Amino acid sequence: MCTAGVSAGGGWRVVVVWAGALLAGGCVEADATADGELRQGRFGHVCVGDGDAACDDGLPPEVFPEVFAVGARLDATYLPDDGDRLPLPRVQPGSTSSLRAGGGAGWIAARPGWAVWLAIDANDVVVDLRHVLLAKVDAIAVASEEVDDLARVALAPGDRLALRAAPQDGVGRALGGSLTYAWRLEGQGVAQIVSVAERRAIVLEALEPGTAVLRVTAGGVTRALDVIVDEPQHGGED
Amino acid sequence: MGRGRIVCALAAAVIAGCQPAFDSVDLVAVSTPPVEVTVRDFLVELPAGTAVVVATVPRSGNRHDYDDETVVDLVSDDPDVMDVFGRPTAREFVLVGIDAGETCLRVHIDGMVRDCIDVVVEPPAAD
Repeated sequence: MCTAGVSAGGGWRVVVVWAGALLAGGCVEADATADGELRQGRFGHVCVGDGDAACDDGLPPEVFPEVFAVGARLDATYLPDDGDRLPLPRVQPGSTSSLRAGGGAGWIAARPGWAVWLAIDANDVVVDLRHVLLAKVDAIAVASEEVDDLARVALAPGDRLALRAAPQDGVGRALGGSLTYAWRLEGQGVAQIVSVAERRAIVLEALEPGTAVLRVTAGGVTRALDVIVDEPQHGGED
Repeated sequence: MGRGRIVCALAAAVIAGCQPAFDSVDLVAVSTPPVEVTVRDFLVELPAGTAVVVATVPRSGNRHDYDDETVVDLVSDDPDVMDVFGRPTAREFVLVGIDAGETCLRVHIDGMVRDCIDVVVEPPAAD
């Protein structure tokens, strides 16, 4: 569900941008903004779908992501500083070899390296621009609410643990953009995934003592995680 | 040659002598891309996926300078290698590296092609 709009501007401009984003591709939101490199306005990050690690639960991030995953969907909005005139500039990639149209919402990061968003006004001239970096997914971090990157999961039968995957590049930077996630559990009798398995976040439930392997794949990279379900403890009972 | 023809030839010479004679166009980068780019009056080099905003200043080879009315345009020979976008400010352009390759950036002065600036778009650069 879309629950937030653009914060870097007030009144009707927020509504217009938000409505425009909705028309462009469904449930998308923009909040985190960054200055255009020509200082004429601000670019906003759009959360495309629910697979964007920069967007917590689909909500816009606090900081404009600077690095995005190759293969991810991303999009941007633009609010000029003097944006009281309609229509607002449209945002498009400078090169569709870097950010290509892929059907559906947003643009797909096609290759590693720099890409550039162009804000283009009704006269088809560029009023501002902003570069973003695209990087290959090198690793997948799997986090719980308490731990940023789990080495393994240890549970007791009946326990449930919410897990969240996030892509990183080769130097450990978190990558923005919406990826498709596939979760797979080997050892079904030991534990089970109790939420939709194609999203970035799942809930794992421990069933019986034993070991299982949880795998999550995104951006062409798979992360395997040992799941250990211990014998239930019968504290103090004889 | 009759007297009329001589007068006409002299008049044409005088008129031409009052006009600027194209020498070159200065390209001045007015944005700062995240990676190094080269912007000169004879060469533009930048990585694919990056963009640089340039201001153009036409230079005359005689003592008559170009005035503000002179229209400058830049046109890429191969938009699949480098694309060019206009700016709200006259004589400013956004040069975007699309894919690795070489091409030529045609300089139009008042609608006439006057120069060809070499363009090299390098493979995409990481940070």
